[in-house]
Order: sequence, then C-alpha cells, then structure tokens
Amino acid sequence: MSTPALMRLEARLLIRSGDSVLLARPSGGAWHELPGGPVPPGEDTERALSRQLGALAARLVPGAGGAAPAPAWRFLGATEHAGDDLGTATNPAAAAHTLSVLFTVDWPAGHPVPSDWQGHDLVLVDAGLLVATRIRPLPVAVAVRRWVIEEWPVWRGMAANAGEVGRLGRRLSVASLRAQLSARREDLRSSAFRDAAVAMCALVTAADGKIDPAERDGLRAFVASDPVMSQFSAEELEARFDAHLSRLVEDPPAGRAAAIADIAKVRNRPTEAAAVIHLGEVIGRIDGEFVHSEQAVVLDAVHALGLDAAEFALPAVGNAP
Amino acid sequence: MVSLAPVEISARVLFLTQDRVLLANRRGQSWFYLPGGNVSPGETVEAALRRETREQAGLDVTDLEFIGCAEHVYVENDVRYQEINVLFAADLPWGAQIGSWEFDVDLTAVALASLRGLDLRPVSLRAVIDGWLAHRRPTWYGAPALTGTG
Repeated sequence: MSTPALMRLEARLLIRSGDSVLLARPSGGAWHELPGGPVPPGEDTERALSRQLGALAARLVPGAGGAAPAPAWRFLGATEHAGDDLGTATNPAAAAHTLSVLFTVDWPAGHPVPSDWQGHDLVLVDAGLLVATRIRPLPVAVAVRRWVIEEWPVWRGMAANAGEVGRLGRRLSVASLRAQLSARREDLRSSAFRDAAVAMCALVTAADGKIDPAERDGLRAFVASDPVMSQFSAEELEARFDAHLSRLVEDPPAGRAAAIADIAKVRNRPTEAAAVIHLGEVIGRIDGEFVHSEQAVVLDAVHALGLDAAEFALPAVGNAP
Repeated sequence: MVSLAPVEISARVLFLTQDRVLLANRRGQSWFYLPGGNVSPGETVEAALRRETREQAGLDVTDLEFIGCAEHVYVENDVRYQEINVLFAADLPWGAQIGSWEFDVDLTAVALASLRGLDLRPVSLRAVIDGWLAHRRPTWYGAPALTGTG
C-alpha cells in the first residue's frame, strides 16, 4: 500500500434479456457484479473477456473458441475506481485503482439463461429495479443504470483534484446532447413526453423573466429541425408553448407550477425524464451561455422528476425564486 | 520469446476549435499524436490528462467530453506493449496560445477536413475519433489479434 501501483485493467459485460439484466452474485453474497474480470498483460481486452465469460461466451460470441471470435457486444462505457470491493476510495493511490471497460449484449432469445457463472449465482434483475439493486463497484453500477435509461456510452472517472481545477466539468456539448436525444427518438414519442418537453422549453425560455419575440422564433426553428421534436405536430407544439409562455408572463408562480406539472408527467419514466432534462439543457445552451436562471429551472425539473442532479452535471444547489 | 510489458492506461485529448483539432508532432517525425499520456501510479485518468496537457501545451482543460477508448498493442524489441487510450474532447480555451512547451515537439491546429490524410498514431485512435466526429457517440476500438507473436 505504501507505493501506489499501476492502474489495472478489467473488462465486464452487461447481459440483457428482455426487460431484465443478468447479474452475477457470489453464493450467499449481497452484492452483484457484472461477469468479466482482469485483463492480464499479453491478452487483448475482448479476448480476456471472452475467456472470463467461460461457458457464457459460447452463447454470446459466435465462433467462440475458434480462430477469430467476433464478439457481438457493444461498448457501454468505461469507469475508474479504487479501494475496496465497492470502489469508493476517493484517492487513486488507494489499492486496486482500476479501469473497467464495459460492454453489453442481448442474451439470445429462446435460449435458457444459465443459473451460474464461475462460482457465482446468475440472477435476472428487472431493469426497472436496478436503482434498488446492489451492484459493485459503485461506478460500474452508475454506468449500468445510465445505460439502461439512455443507451449511450458513458465515462465515470474519479474526481480527484477537484479543488485544484475548481470545476471538474463533464458536460456534453450541445451537438452531443442532441445526437444522444436523436438516438432515442423512437422512445420519445408519447404525448406525455411531448407535454413535458414543451413545458421544459417554455420554462427555460422564460427563465430570465423576459420573453423576446426572437426567442419564440428560435424555438420554432429548433422544433422544426430537431429530430425528436419534429416527430410532433408543429402547430400543437407551438400552441402549448405559447400557452405556457403566456401563463409564465402573466402569473409567474402559477405558470411555473403548470409547467412543472406537465414535466412531472414523465416522472417514473426514466428514459423520457432524462431526455426532458437534456432537452432543457440544449435549449439553455444553444444560444450561448447556460445562464444561472436557466440552470435553476432545469434543476427544478430535475427535482420534480425525482432525478439526481449530479447525474446531469448541473450545480447541486438551485435558487429558483 | 516475447516478454510482456504491464498494461498501460493513457489519457488523451482532442482539442477542438471550430473546424480545427490540435495535434502534436515530434520534430523530425512525419506522424502526429494527440496531447496526453500515461496515467502515473496513484493518479486519476483525468488528473493525468490535465497534467500532461499543462506540461505539453500549457493549457488547462475544463469540460471534458468522453469520446471512447482505443486499445493499442504492438511488439518492439521482443516486448509486447498493450495500451488503453481513454479519449476525451475539449474545447480549446478562447484565445489560448497554441504552442508546445516541449523543445522538440510542435503543436499544430489542423483542419478537420485534412485529418483523414494525416498519419495519426496510434492508428487505433482514428476509428474512435472518426466515429465521434460523425455521430458524437463514444466507441471502443479493440486491438486486432496480433499474428506471429506467440
């Protein structure tokens, strides 16, 4: 422990089966893990993962054991952790500083799911219950939960030296946020999402207490060109947007309450809820700086949806008037 | 007989400014690389990136965006090296002076359009960078199986 060691590398796999995920749990243990393990020197990452999966790989890697396995898994992201089994150390000089490269794959339909892997029980956990499921190390758990909601590869690094840099931002650029929203547009077609999205746009537009006619034109152009919002009728979006704006101008507290009520329509619908927050951030940042008043209303929406502000790279304290 | 070097993790950054990216090039060599370098023992990935970019270019990075990971395996003098590059994008700070702080390295802002024609190493980074520039989706590029090293 006295001298820090080189960072380790491991590879793990999230196996999905329908609406559930397959997690490994040591017999009698309380914590779950993703199947996989360390990548030793001399072995490529994916080859090591195939080997670690053992019998599981036969179903997941076409031609496993042959000359050239061609894994069908997709990249889920990468995480960094150190310390005990939970990976909660904040100092990278702690034991077991590790980079985990994560992949995901669908278990082939029609094949029974195995019940054990390398001395672990394999358990199917409903994706909706992942929030309450103990998965270690914790950064991997976060990446898995994010994946199930957004299906977008993430990075979870250790935030050391935060004081030194002042602000350790991991904000996505507007282009990336829009690409991410666009990739899930098939899941963002419900009327509840439409109502929540329009309310979010209106809240951000009116966040500074003023409404400039140019902002309404800007929204109209945005809605027309955005792959998610253009799925809805433009007239309907504009009518709802205008109704929100009028209320927000005439009676700000009542207007805000009405907008938040519409946003709350996607509470407990994680994919849509996360998308509404991302959309608010896009609207706030598309014209330049994401000013404090805009951040504050997006943060109100985060709270109304029961989400964790830290997950969205928003400041943790809001001061909505 | 090939001996095995420990797996190295390194962090690299694609500095973007409008339609240009920042590449480094060691004087006398024809190929380019991304600023960044190996994660030292006891250092986080992002801290390594910030340290390296400060040392190499005098630049402080704030917001980092994840681009993906690329595995690079090569054999040199009978030693097999394996490196995982964790890649990030960052906006070049406004008005930043672009210049190398290392005496034998040049830093150049290269037009994105000409990136494809340049010799960028390790080659495995290219697929990840191209994918991100096109779709903004982070990806993984695994080392193709080495032949003739067994």
